[in-house]
Amino acid sequence: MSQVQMHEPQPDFIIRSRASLVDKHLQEALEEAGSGFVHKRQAAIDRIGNFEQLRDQAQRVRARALKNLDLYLLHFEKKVTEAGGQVHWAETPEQMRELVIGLCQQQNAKTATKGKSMVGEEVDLNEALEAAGVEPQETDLGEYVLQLANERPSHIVAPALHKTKAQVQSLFRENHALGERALDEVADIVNEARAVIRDRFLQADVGITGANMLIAETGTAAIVTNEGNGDLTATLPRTHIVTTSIDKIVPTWEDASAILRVLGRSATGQDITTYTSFFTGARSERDKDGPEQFHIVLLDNRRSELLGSEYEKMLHCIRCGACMNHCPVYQSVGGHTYNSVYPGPMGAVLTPLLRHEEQDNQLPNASTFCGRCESVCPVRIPLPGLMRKLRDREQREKKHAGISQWAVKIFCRLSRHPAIYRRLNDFNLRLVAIARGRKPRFQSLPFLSGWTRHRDFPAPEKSSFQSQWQQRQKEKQS
Amino acid sequence: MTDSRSRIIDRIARSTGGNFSADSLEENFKALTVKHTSPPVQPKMEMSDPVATFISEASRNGARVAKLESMAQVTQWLRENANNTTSSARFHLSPSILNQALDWDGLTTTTETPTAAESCGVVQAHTGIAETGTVMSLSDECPSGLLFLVERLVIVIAREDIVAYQEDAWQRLRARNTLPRTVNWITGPSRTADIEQQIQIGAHGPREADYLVIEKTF
Repeated sequence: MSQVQMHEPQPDFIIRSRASLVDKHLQEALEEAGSGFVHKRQAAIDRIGNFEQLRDQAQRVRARALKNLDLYLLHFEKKVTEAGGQVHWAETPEQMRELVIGLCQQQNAKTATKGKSMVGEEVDLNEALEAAGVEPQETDLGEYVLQLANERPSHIVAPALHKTKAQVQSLFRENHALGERALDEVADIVNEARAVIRDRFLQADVGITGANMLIAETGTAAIVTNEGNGDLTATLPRTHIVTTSIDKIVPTWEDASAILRVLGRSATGQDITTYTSFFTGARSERDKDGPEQFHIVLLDNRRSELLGSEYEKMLHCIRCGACMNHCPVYQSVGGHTYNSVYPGPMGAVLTPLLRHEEQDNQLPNASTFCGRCESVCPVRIPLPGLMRKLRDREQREKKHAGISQWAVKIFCRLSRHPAIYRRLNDFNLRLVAIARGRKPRFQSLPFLSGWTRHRDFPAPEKSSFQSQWQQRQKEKQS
Repeated sequence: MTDSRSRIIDRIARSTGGNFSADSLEENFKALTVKHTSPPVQPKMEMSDPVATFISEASRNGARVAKLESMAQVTQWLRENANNTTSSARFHLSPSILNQALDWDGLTTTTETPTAAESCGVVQAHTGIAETGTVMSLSDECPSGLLFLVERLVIVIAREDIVAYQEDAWQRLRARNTLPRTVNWITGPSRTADIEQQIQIGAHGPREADYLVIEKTF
């Protein structure tokens, strides 16, 4: 298996967006996926009468879990240990990579099957495993396709959303010895992947999965899937390693239910996914099968710093992807444009908070503030509000004032002096009136080519509302 | 990595207050969860007859459901419905099914790990959940791998084991006093929508899921 591609794209979101907007395959794939998620979610909500109450309950559970996160994490750890498993703590992505590689090496592992784990993506686990001589084998169909293509996920639920069927077919043709086997239908593609991956499940030394939730009550990791690959990964190898993060805790099994009831409906419009599995510790003598070793590796990566901060609500996220499915920006440019494992509105907030790279500051600006993300978030995270805070923070911290910042500063000054502002505005409008002549629209304007290249700019009135009002009052009196 | 652990916990404690003693984790946990337990919010749906809801929800989620009078009819049903595609079908039985002393005459049975293409698993569910048409299997009753490696999965579920909501299933689980390594919930056949969001039934797990609801188990 070749190396997973290291991302070195343009450091500028706007430049990446331009490329994405003219990427024929991407636009085709986005169109194909289109409103499917949106309609399925709505249908699932319409089938039950009280989705809003389910959202409230899920939000309460998340808030309660974070309020006593230290207690719940330690209780979780105690229960995992009692059940024959082990909990490991990683402050940084680097530590998580070291821990997982260490566990694989203890087992002399040559191969590791992998279920989908966004935390695994967050820490670039595959590259690290390969470098350490452990072959990572993705088993989720979308992740498998991306591993063949040397690409990263572009969506947190449907990782290969940006790929068309034709692209997948050619990837399979290049990488599989197909012989007479057909690839015309989606069913053929799925069958081909099933056949190729089946042997890997049976032979892997280690299985690595993520977790959707960690239940503090019993030290249980809960995983939701549709394909069944997560379960085969967690069950068949001698060792099961869970790569996840500290914020995934819920206190009890009843609390897990509160999350499950909004997760599937928000993500794929399913009342529940085909498989929901709960793993507690290692196989005991009572169990008919299961791994002999069970390890949970918990990643912090600055999450603990967000607790108690004005960004704490971002830790409520249950990774359903509804915000990106409903985001006009994500739907236009796709997930890769965000250059982060977490794209869309949730990624635009989480990425600058976790990664702290200069380029991440652009992401909170990649929003029209239409508010759809917040309106569909199952745990009611105020995503536009958090993006606004991050924009504000960026402005305040900016060391080098660019032209846009001067413009904002001048505007701030002016807006605090209404008399000057009004006079300047009247003067501007008179200038515009001269430039405009009799045309109702401008076809080009200095500094506004971004707008006028695609559409005309409507010409404003010849004087401001206030001037017109005063004029009228005068006419009335006279 | 003990240092990482204490540094992470310390940072969290700055926001939570960390008002508990590590020696009395369980007491603190119980006190907190008892204090904060609010009544569950369950989806509003028709639940006057949980078995009827179980059947309709399971069917909507892609499972084929049949009702049988008694356990004794299971093998006859298999002969009529699961043995007609090929004569080489092998029936992989979970221990609880094996212990039922059913008449397997004419059917090839095994308890080996399924690897062949024409494999059909026959297992008994611990609990059925009407809310979503879900069956629950426990790894100390049935090997978890069996549920995923077969081409077709036949799940036997007794009428009296079907409950209305998830919380009822948790109560049954707590009543056992031992938690198995794996609790599996299954709702229909395996599927994927990873290629252009088209739902394709039969991904890595079984391509077909049959639920047999048994009216009388005694």
